[in-house]
Amino acid sequence: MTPELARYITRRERVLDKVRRILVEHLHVARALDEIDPDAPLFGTGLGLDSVDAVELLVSMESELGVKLPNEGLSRAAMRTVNTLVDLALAHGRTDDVDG
Amino acid sequence: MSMDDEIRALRTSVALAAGDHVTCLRIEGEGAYEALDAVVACDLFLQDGQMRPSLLLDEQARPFADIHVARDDEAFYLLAEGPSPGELVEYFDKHFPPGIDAKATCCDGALLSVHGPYAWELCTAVLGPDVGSLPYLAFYRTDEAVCFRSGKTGEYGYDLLISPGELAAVREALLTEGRAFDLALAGLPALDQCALENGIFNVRREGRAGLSPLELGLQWRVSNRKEYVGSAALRARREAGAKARVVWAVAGAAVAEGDDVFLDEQRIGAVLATGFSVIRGEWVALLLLDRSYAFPGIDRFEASHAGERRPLRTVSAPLINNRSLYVSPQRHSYRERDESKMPPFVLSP
Repeated sequence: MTPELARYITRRERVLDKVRRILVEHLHVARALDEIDPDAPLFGTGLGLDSVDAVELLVSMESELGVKLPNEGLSRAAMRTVNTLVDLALAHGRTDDVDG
Repeated sequence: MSMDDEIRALRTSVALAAGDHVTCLRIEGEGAYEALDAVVACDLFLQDGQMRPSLLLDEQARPFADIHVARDDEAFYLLAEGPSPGELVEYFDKHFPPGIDAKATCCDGALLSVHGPYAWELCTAVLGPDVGSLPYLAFYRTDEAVCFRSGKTGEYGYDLLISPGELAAVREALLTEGRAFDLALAGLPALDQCALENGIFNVRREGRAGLSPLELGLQWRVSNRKEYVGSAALRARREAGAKARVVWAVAGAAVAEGDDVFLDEQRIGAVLATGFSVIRGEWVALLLLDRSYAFPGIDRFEASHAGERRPLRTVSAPLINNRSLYVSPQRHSYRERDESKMPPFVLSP
């Protein structure tokens, strides 16, 4: 594995862990961190979030990861699964110094 | 009509499909809740009219059936893919707790399914206005059908349980009204391709790879606070730690199920499922990779196919920016649609 790939995976794992913590600590998802699959749907019966939670999620993503959604279309696509949130944070957030 | 045309219709207008691959069971009788709760992998906290996706597992925690369970007062509907109707009834007979007088029987009727960003509008035209306001994961009875809103394509989806006496008339009405929606008839391969593109579990494909919900990324479909068939084995697997996990990928050239996946000269996994996406214009694949590599956003992996290495790029599912995200039954209609205002199917990585 190249150092560049290793750095990417480490950074992605840290952001994934941070998003999982947001879901458990701010959104009260009743799961252990490692039970939250990266591809779990956020809404409906996936992790059970609703439209009220969506607002809290956006606020938490901004305060914890510096994510500001650039437009409405992107927000719909970004808020589908845990992994799409991680993608959003990596592309538009402040993730260089995220701790695991 | 080709499968590509079926998929284009499903992604942009409406497609009608037979539901032969789905078995509808009804579980009823004294203790139906207790009997089902001891068997299905999810918590059964459902209100009347609600439904939920889950799994039936075998004793080794491998998927036996992909299910939606729906509460109908004191009874339940169960829509299941994977096993035959006989195998499902046998599974329940074997696993229902003793002393409970509940029975699982096949529903009288046939299933049709309607999929697409305007599926709600066609169903409203044929079955009445209430179907258009049916929430996701709920069901509703009309005079002609029991209408379950679920779907496994990423678009609006309705499974219609229709009594044998009404089947021909409802199908004809869907076809007739469907002309205004450029309705297509879709086969199971088209539905499966759409499920793959949207990262939706397919029990007839990756579900037969001997994996558990841990590797399949389906822990959200199973309870962590009750016992059910396979729960002990799943707990043991969780404590041991999953060594691999699924991740989606795209490729510019064909890759096939069973191809090995490499990082440089190190084998790190294999292709579980694949298909050409006419919407993305490239191959999409479901990979099973060593856990330390199973992340989206990596373009260093290669599949070994037909004697050559083919580059892969891992991506987050869903792989399609579904139009159903942007079409609202309160504000839109197929007749007045404006394609120019629709976002692209594929967003930049």
